[in-house]
Amino acid sequence: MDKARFFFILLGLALMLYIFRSVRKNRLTMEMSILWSLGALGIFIIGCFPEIIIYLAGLVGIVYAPSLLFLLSTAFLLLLSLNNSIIISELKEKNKELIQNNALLEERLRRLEERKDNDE
Amino acid sequence: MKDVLVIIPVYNESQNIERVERDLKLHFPEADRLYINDHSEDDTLEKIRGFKESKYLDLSSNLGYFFAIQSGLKYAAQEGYQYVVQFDGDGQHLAAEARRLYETALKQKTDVLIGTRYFKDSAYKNSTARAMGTALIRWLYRRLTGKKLSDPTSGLQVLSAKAITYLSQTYNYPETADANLLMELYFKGFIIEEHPVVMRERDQGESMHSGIIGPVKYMGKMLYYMTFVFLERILGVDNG
Repeated sequence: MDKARFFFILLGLALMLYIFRSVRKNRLTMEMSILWSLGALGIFIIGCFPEIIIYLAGLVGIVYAPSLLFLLSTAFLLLLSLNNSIIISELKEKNKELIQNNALLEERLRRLEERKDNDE
Repeated sequence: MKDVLVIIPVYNESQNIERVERDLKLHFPEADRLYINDHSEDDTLEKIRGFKESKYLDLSSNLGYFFAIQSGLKYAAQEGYQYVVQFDGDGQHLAAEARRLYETALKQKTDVLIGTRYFKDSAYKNSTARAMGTALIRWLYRRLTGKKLSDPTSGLQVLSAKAITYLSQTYNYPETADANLLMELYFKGFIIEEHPVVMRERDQGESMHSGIIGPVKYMGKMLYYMTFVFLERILGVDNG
């Protein structure tokens, strides 16, 4: 039991450190790190106080407490992954708009240059 | 500047493009031409550059057929064209037919006029799998809108200024935009009609609907998108 607790605390800490470092090195934006930091903090807290899970399981009527842990972590990952899909969709849309507008601008520039050449 | 713009999305159409340009120049002279090079890997762009009487857009990444079309619509909206004719760059569409379709659109005052290949005496042949898919889309379109749509994948279409403005500003313009987009336009009150046209079988290059995985994926997507548009309609959701 103590071994498992130690492992969880260490995992939470390591994750937090990794996220922190990634933000510092500009590999992850502050905004994107929020959900991940919350996840890492959750792991850390559960490592420190495993009783929380047992208490919560009793609260919602789950007999086998560890299954709540799986449920929560799956729900969290699902949320995170959906969040990523939303961000990717926004990026794709913006990227498409950029490529299209760039092509339109390039065409206008070409026309302007042609006109300039004809004037000279 | 003329009233009507033919937009021709092209991707690796080096073998067909010159014939398309010649055909349009000869048989549809009252229209301006805009080629949209969807980041071709062959010498399509070089050939388009040589067409002195035509304009072109050069997309810096490959966006796919429908986003290339939308780029052309944005250009038409920016320049203030009254009509756009969507014309495929693979040599399947005929300029004379496009011109006839445009004249019909003018007469009937439609917002979207679709050139349909399916009518009696049509020589257009189709593979069985594709015919079945088309039948399913046709059936669903009719169920959901109460209107007939015989050729849901026809790329030969004439759009009015109203439709051009709407489509060029659409956020989340679908990356596959056939029957689903027509449905959306129909629900928004645009006038959508069909008119028979003759098309040529493609003889160079690959159709984007060839293979087995492609059409199946296309069908799944199309059914999902159509259901989605319908749900938006009955739930009264308006995303602008």
